[in-house]
Amino acid sequence: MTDDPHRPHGGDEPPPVGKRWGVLYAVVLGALALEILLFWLFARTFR
Amino acid sequence: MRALDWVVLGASLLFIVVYGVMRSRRQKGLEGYLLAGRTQAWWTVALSIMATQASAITFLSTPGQAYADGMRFVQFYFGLPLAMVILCVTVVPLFHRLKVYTAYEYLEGRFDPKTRTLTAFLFLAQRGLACGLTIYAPALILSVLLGWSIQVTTVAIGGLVVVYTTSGGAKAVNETQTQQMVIILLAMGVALVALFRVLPEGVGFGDAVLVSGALGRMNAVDTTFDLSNRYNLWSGLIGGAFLSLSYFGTDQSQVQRYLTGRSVAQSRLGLLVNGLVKVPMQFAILFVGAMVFAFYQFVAPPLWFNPVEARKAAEGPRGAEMAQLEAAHAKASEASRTEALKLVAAGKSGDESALAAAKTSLRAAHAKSEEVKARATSLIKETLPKSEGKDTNYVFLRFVLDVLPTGVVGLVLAAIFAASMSSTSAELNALSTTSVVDVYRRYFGKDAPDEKLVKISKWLTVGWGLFAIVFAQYASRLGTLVEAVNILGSFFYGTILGVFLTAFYLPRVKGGAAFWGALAGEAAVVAVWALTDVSFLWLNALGCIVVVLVALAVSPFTGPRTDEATARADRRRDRGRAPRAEDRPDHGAAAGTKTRAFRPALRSTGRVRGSYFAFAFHSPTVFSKAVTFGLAGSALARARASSPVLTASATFPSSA
Repeated sequence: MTDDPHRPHGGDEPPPVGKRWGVLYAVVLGALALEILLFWLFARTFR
Repeated sequence: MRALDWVVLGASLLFIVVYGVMRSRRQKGLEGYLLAGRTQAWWTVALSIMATQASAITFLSTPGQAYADGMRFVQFYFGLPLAMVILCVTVVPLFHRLKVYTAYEYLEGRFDPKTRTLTAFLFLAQRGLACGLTIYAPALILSVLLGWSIQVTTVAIGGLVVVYTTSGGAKAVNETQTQQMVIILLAMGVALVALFRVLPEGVGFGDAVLVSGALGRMNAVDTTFDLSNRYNLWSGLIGGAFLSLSYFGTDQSQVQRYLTGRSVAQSRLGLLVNGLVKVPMQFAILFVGAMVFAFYQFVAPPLWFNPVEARKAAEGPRGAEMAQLEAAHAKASEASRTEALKLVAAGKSGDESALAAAKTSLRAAHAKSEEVKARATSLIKETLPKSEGKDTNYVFLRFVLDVLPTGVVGLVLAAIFAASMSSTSAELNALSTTSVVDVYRRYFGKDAPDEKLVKISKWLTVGWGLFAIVFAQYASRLGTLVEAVNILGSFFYGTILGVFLTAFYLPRVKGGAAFWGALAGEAAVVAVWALTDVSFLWLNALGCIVVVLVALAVSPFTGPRTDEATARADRRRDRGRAPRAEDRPDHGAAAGTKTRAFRPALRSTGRVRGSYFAFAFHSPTVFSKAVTFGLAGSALARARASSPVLTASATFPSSA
């Protein structure tokens, strides 16, 4: 798999922060979910 | 503008330019000049990406958007974090491994030289014009509100950018963008604090939010699924994700920003930070607009925020009618103010029934005020045919100039200049890079030494900068043309993304199948656009999905390619290629990459039957053209970014 330069790779280099890229991706997506929830509550509270 | 404002503005701009020039003096070679030597840390990449996306219109129009339509525009950005994650997994490692300078360079490997060249030319044509509009839009607003000549504002913004972008290349762009983002964030924070300090006596933060919310300005999330509703949770998540994928994955002005990262990891982290910060940042900017709206419920706002148009209407043939509207507006505003104060009192009392009654009364009073505004809008449109018929772009800056204290005005103006300069510098950098890498070096300077290429890049930066400044002088005459280009451009984002995704993840799909998929995707987009009133964001998702599904469905009926054809195409591509920096034995190792390991694989694609590379070389010419036009469309859609005649809500980069 790593011989094909035109194929996307999952990650061959550890992230500068944390140990796994999957965890960082989950943090970003989790933050988005939390933001949507908070904004939704905000919109419901002040209407 | 007081003396202190001038000092703050002048010092900020001078600091940016001097800092950019000083920090980027020692760039070596073409890679150093165009990609900052691929040495940038993740935080620089992150700020650079954010600064590129955020143009001056972001800070002028977005608060106005919240003032007029509430905070629902924030949903537009919900798809961005999803796109950042997808790009981190796919495009970032791919571009890094191939050591490309531009996204179009990659297309030569995937398709053929003419696709790369055509795409590059289309990008240059579109981006050159868009760069002029990026300068023109804030210059126009600044000139109207400050009374300066538009020639002065365009030359001031464009000239400063040309100086440091030419001097330091990508490194200067990245370094100055870091400072510009600091100024922008500082100014927005200070403006928000100052805003609360100018609220009337007895009206606090919570009261302002209560009033703004009662009048529908806190509508941050709308979960209703409605295809014709431009901004809701679903269009933002799905359509916004596809739009972000196209913008960050195929637009050279953004691709170049994360190519400057010193490794895949640094570039990835830069994008992920953008994904984390972007949504809250946009929420904050929109919140400022909602608070400006709340402020004007207690203090009578101008009937029309564009002072030049208001004066022309008052002095025109229907001046008496305008004066009547002014009087009616003052009366309605006073009634609205009384009801707003009653709502604040009801909120403090804790009486739920009184609160509900006060909200109803405030909404009724505000509706009368809106009615007067609607009549004024009609009058302005009728008496001033060249008017946009809206004044939301002027709301925030007018508020800053009229209400905020000395010093803060200078800081906000500095932020607007900084935002404009950050977008423009990235565009000039991308234009210069594409010109020299995809055109000059590809066809005229294969053996040219780096020193010569850097010199040409610098001259090209100056040339593109001058072109943009000159174009900005005439941009006001292109309103309808720009609008037409934008509508056409929005047709292609999803299709091109579908082609890329097919190439990445469906190795068995061949060129013919992808071609039919692209055609079907475009047909679906055009049909939906023509026959329905579906919001434009959905077209991105639709085009992409149709491409992938049709390509999959047609794939079994298209023939395989031969290894010999692959080898022939490979030999053609490598013939006459000049030795490049990445061919040096030590190249890549220093940056912690595996370039050397990948190069042989790149040259012997005949061995990788059914690979993505094979797919690319099998692509028919027509398919290449479809991709070219798709990419061109995605680039053209970026023209929305700077168009002063379009609403910020209909744009991606400008309103980011």
